[in-house]
Amino acid sequence: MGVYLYCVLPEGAPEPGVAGLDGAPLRAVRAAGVCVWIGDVDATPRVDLSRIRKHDRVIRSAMDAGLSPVPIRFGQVVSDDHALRAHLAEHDYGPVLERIEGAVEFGVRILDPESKPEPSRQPEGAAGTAGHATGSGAAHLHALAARFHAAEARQARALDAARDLDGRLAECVRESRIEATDQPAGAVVAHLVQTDAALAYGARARELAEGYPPLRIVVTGPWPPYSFVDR
Amino acid sequence: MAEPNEAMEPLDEWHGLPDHERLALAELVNRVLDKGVVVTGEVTISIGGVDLLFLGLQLVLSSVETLERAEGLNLRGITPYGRSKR
Repeated sequence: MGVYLYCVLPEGAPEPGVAGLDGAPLRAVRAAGVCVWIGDVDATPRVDLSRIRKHDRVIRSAMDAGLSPVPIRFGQVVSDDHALRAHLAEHDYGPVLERIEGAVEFGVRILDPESKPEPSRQPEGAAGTAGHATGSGAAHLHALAARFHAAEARQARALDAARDLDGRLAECVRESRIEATDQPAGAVVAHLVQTDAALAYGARARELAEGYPPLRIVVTGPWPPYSFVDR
Repeated sequence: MAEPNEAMEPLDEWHGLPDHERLALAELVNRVLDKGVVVTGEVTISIGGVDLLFLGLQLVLSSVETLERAEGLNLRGITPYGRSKR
């Protein structure tokens, strides 16, 4: 038996109003000035799409109730209520609850249509080595280097666009994080947006997203603030 | 720590989906499996496995897609003005 964790809420939050993974009933544990929505499980649930969706829906149901949940990552299980209370006694969720209070997350993903999936890599010295003519080695290395530099340039271009977009959206945004992505080469921006600014943000982001050809800008949200709760 | 090949399981129903749904799901999986508070120190999936979900999607996307087109992910409950303006 174990206790599967969905989200941390202010102490006064109501009981969960939806079912959890695999249809299991949920309940609230209150301790150390916070409320945690949990489900009782026999074992750590295996990851699949329907459970991923359900995990998110439980957290979203808190948002729909007007709460600001601190999302917990999929698959976090503690042994029992006692262990959860011990965790809450040792970890102060006050600052993170305050950080995301009244806000939602949006994502801005910058994709480069020229960024192709890498061909599958063969391990060094494995299949193929014997069959390669020695003369092709240098050409192969040059090709690898060229591909590496092209990918670097694409990532730099995506990061420039990310920073530019971030600046232009700043007035609608409480907090932002920019990350480069490797596969495919690109960048992603996470924005923490006050709920009453969400519509203005969405309209502005969509308008701006058209302005970076050939890059494709994909705006998603609102999300629970998954990207702003690391401690 | 879970085996890295757990990353393959979410992909089972992945390939049959239209592209905008795959994008929405990739964003969802990226957050649910890779962000959020880690309480126990154990994580289910590697960062690399999550990012790979985005490979190949960008070639067929329209310039802007939003999650509002995917099930259940809209501005409902976020603001009193939400859907009525659309």
